[in-house]
Amino acid sequence: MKSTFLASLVVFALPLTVHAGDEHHYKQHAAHEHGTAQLNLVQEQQTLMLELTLSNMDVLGFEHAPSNQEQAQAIEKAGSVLADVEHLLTFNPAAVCTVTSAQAQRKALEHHEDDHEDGHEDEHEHEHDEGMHKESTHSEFQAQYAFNCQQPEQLKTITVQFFDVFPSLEKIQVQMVTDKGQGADQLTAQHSHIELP
Amino acid sequence: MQKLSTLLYLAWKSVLNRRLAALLTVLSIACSVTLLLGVERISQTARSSFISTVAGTDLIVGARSGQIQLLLYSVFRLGDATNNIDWQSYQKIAKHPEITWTIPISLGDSHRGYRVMGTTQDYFEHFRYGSEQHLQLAQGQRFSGLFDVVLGAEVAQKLGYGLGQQIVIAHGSSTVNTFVHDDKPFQVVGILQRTGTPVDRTLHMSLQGIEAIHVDWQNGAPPRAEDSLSSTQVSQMDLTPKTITAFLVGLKSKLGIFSVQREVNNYRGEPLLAILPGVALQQLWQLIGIADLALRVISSFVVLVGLLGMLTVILTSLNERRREMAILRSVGASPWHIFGLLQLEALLLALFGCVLGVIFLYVLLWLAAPLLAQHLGLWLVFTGLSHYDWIVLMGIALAALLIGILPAWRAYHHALSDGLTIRL
Repeated sequence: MKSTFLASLVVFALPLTVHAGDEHHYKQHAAHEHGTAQLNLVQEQQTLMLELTLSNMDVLGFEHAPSNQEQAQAIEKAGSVLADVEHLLTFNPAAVCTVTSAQAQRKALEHHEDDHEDGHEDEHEHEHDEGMHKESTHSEFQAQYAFNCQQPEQLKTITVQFFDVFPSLEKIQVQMVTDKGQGADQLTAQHSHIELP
Repeated sequence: MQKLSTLLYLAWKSVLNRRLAALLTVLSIACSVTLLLGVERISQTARSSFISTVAGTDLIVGARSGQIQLLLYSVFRLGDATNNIDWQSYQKIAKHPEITWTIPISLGDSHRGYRVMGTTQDYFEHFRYGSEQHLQLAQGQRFSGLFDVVLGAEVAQKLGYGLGQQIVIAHGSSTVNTFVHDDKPFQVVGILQRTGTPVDRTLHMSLQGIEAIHVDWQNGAPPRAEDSLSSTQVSQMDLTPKTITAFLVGLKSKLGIFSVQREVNNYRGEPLLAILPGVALQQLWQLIGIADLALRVISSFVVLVGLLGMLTVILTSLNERRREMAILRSVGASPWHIFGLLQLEALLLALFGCVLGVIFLYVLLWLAAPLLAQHLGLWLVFTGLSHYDWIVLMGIALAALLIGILPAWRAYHHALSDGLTIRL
């Protein structure tokens, strides 16, 4: 259990060492497409991690920062729906996978304006009061799941329910890295299971 | 059972009686079977050789462009980079705590149509292909001096180079070179073993070697005679490269792969792109897969044409065989026997076609294997018939039975109406 926790620290909390000490900055804007989600899957030995990024248009129906109580509640509700991983992901039983952690939160898309150009890393730290920042009109929801699989070599398919939960979602681009190699897949409502390499 | 073997015997004898037409039918089916299975074999081989070009590399980093473009120039030596990476950026990223090794590569020059790649000793240490195999030297040693070059197997073989050969590197990648770095010749110190990957078609040298041949160039043009520096002068200079084309990355743990990828993609120094080679390979294969599908569709149609040819042959033979049928009826065959006889005939022709087709396939593969290996770097593996092959063959037999219903049904009706007397 402890090792999985450590592993999740490795994945999700790596220090942003690469950024430190760069002399020049330029504006960059990540692509953001409604109806399409990105799912990254990585498995090493018994640890399996998935990271799903959805546009908030698909999760909430709005992308701006919450402006009233209702919208704040919607965000909270979406967070708990996405964290309820047992209803979202099904593994082939032979792999014997159990959840070790599941969390989801709303993220404003990074955009770098001159007034807080060096606040890049701060944005990550101050997510809870992101309403204070000037934020992009686009935002995302990100869910992170970690599992422990007792028979990782038996892991063959993962069925996802995201299309049922978020009807406006059309496709999920999957990138996967396992002990057997790397692979890619594209999921749709009709083809909603990942086949691992 | 007895009846079936009698029918089989009769069908066999009847086919033998029309052996020329039957042989041609079998041949046309056989050729179509060879084509269909052959396309599958080649596509399988191409796919596995494709997938095996790079193994054990977690990420490839280059200037921001497209995933596939980066893969093509960094791994397949096809096309050119849009931009180079600053040496400082490379150094900074290579120090990332999650990264265990990096292989810098610098492309842009060539020798008689083969790409020249600048790299470091880490290339021999960490680069893997196929099922995690390391590069092995067939002759000589790794490059160590400034003007040392290690050849890929195909380069050495095609150009007939051995150890100690002096070669001159050309500027750019076209085969007709205007600018040649003939003031600084390189010496072949090693030849790699054949890998069946683009490594075979590459000349490898140190990054400093690449830097050395360009150090006296000004604004991308060759130096004037009085400005040019000799090999000895150059070797005393600081030859740290200013830029590289791309680098391959190996990670401590796969679990960190997506966060490292994200960090590189968000790197604020210059726009970079980190790709997962396996993912990019799959995307590229999906593109190529359309051509692959087209080939399969075409060869399926060829099989269909073969079977229709068989239908024509059997149908046209029906009229001349009315007498044969009448004789069979006179010795006690029911109309259903006639039906079965013709079905069996179709099946027999198709089965012989399949068997002959498979024999053709293996003969052809055996003949083509050395050529494919030599010209395309594709290594055919001789395996038995796969699950897919069996399904295809069964499908053909089934299709033959279905198609055979038409002449069988006609013969059945002839048999009923003609009885023992034929009104021709």
